[in-house]
Amino acid sequence: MRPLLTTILLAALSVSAAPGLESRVSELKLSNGMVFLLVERHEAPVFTGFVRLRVGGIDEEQGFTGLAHLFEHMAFKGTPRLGTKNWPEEQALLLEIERVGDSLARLERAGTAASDQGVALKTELKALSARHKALTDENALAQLYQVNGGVGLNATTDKDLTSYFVSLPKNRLELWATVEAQRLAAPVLRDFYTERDVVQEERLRSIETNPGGVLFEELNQLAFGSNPYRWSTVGYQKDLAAMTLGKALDFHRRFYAPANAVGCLVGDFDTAQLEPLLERTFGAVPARPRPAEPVFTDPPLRAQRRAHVTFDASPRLAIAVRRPPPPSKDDFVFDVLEVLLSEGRTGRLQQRLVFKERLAQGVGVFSAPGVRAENLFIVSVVPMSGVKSEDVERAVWEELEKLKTTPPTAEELEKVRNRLTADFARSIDSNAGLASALSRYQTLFDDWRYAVRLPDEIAAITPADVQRVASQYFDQKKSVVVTLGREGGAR
Amino acid sequence: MKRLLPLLMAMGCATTPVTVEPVITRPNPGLEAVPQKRVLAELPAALDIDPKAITVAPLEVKVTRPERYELSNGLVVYLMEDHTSPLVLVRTLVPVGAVDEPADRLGVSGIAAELVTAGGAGSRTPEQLDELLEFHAADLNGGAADEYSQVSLSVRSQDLAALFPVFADVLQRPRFDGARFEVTKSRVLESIKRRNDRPDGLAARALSKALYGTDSLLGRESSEATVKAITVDDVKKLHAKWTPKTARLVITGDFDRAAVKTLVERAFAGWKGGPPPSRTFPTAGPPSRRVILVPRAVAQVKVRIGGAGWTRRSPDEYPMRLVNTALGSFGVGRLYREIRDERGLAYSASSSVGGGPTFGQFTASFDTRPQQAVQALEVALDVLTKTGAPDSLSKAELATATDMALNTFAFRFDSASRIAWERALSEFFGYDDDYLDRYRDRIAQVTSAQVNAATATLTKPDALQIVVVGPKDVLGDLSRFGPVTVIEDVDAFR
Repeated sequence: MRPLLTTILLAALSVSAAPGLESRVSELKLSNGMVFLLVERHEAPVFTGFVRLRVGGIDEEQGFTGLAHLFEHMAFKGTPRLGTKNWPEEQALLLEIERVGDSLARLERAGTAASDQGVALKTELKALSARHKALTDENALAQLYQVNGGVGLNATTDKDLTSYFVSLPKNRLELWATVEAQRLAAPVLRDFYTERDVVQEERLRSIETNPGGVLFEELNQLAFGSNPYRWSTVGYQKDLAAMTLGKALDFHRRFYAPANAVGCLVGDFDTAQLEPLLERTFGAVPARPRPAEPVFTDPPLRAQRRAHVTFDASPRLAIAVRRPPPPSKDDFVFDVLEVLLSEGRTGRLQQRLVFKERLAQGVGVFSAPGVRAENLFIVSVVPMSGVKSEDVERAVWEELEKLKTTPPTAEELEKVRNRLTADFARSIDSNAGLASALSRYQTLFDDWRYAVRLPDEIAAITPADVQRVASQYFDQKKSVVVTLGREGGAR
Repeated sequence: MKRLLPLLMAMGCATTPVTVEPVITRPNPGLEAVPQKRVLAELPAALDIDPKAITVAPLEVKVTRPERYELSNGLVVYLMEDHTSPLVLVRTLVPVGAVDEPADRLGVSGIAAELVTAGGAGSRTPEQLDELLEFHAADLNGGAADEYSQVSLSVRSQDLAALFPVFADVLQRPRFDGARFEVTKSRVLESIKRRNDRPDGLAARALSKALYGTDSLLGRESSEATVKAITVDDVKKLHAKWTPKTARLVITGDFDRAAVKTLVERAFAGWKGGPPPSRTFPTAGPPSRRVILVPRAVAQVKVRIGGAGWTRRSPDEYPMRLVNTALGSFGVGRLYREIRDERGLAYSASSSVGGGPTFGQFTASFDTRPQQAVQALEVALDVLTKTGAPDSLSKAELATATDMALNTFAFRFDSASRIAWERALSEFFGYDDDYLDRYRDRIAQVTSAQVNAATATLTKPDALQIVVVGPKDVLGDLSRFGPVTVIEDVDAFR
């Protein structure tokens, strides 16, 4: 069967953030269901490529936290044609490594890895790994990109998405498409058990030694019950230590389906020439069904939830309320509230806490940890030394309460609109920024035009909308508060 | 044992292609699910090719330049249009930085750079300035580096004509509002109080002090005492040294060049100022090798190993860049491969190198669990020592590093803002006008003798400064790596 190529060129729409953007995006759906978004930009002889998967921490199960992120690390270890010196031999050895390594992981889970059996398995695994090393070059993928001028080669995993990206000189399009399609189809999970250790180091770095990391892990754990947003993307140390290769391979089969992936290229290329290349490479990845969305019901908060974390750092705190996910209209209103409260030096909380009352060194208002499920609207404060957390909290709640009784002025809302539109323009100024935005919206909402519609959605929000949302959600009795500080220090 | 049978059988037919995949629905099998019979994923025929064999057409990268001209007061202006987005970025680089601070007022350059943006300007109070800029979603930022300060304004192109004169006010006629000065200063004091909260910050600061000397222009740092002593007058005094002579004004983005030239002339031609500050950098190199232990009860040890990078404008830059790539780049470098890939001892192991007025900084970094820190440090030092021996880098390693440098060159020209800023900065630091034009040739022509000299300098064993932040008791005796200095308080490190 000939692959089905459909390119939809869209009518121009004038959007102040990105004039003419809509007319410059070509959408291509490959025969296996994978969607590509292509934007030509000829200012420099380079391009940025993104592959995003609709899989993240939200798709994990209890007991296997951190798997999405660990898998992303494993996807850098090459393919059957990249990183091996003898594929048939290596393949046989990999199965043996999985047998031994996963048996050991099960003992780890049971807490008996130190038994005689565990020690024997460790010895066996070490010997197998040594044989395997001789057959492979696990950095072949990174090296190949780098010698070809790859810049910004990386990947990220969050609670919603997993994303692989790199920028390359324009004469490397075929190389990019081949490598990325290969790793989507058949990543070889080389050296899984070493990488598992590496990710545990990443956890130590991003959470255990980082006061902000600890604070937000605690906040999410407290705020959610069955919602998988409750655990950090990096996962828990015990789950990581006991993770099996078999589980990682299942994860790939289930979530790395072309229909669950979005590709995006922005840069110096000819779209018409690119389409056959994408069909030949990514289009060759076997079609598989799109995985189902996770299902859970998080019980509503009945009472305020509070925690204090003792940590060797100066005090900081976060106050959160639950926020509905898109496409709820309220989600857009919360976007407005973020700016209204935290913008530059004139946002309401900035003005009061930092400049007028000087209670805080800094205030941030943002939402986390994702948008595929109910999430959190968070006010994060770094207080000045000696300022009590209760005084900060009182000031924050007073500002939030004000919004319930007095709607923002028309001028305030216009300022917010200007800010959201201009910041969006800033974020898509670079090839990487535009590729990131388009692929993100396509992966999350099946619709990259979300980016184009955003200014209109924001423009439609009225002062009454802001007042209504503030009244509905800013309920101190159903909020979540975490403070952090030194043993015996001020709270 | 029975459970393993299907797996062992699968090994015998490992090359069988995958056919139809089962659809897995939630919930997944439980913890003790029987391992499935499996073969590894195979590449579809169309993708079963060697990516390394893909031919690459030659690529021409033009070294593009912004338009450059000088105003009569010495201010150098760079203009480069880029109509990708309806935005304009205006940046000024002024020749005053942290190295120009009086020793008892360290921190004043950062406060000055922030206060010009926060303290009102021209006819506007701080609040009026904030309201005006933020209503138009304009971003005004200031910051100080060691040798220069920078103030930038990002605006929508529609607002450029209205806000450009405001930007000129900020630079030339700041009001230094007293209340805003107090806020700025107290926030700086707060961040000094908090800078010991992050062990990686402790490590970076300790290394910089160790390498350059705690009282040298490049190693010294602000403290509560030096910041508390700063007055508005100190800020004004420092700002008085902001001069158009040797300053740079860089404007890039969506604008009309003729119109912008008029704006620039009108707003900046009258800017006066004295001569730029003169500086005397110490000429001594790094001190002799030592271990600096900063005891902290942290779950992950931070290790930073420092050495000397190149002196700015020296030909050492080219071989040192290649050696640094071979040592510490992601996925390729020896440190990465030995510490992370071979042993899984760290999330990342990398190195970086840069130039400086006397000598630049080379840093090898990794973070690791306390119990394995000594092992990881042994590996890292072994890598550095071996690399330092003559001809230790293979032809293949050097070829990889050279390809990386040459093929990433296009990205130094991927946006007007990058092109113009790099040009302004290299001119500010006195590089030859053809520095970028000749860069690729100079990389390609690096000789093995130059590489040997570069590795010997970067990894010079008797000058390495080894900083370790971690729990002293678990780390044990570090004296085998060099004489140990214990620094309980990095602020007080002298």
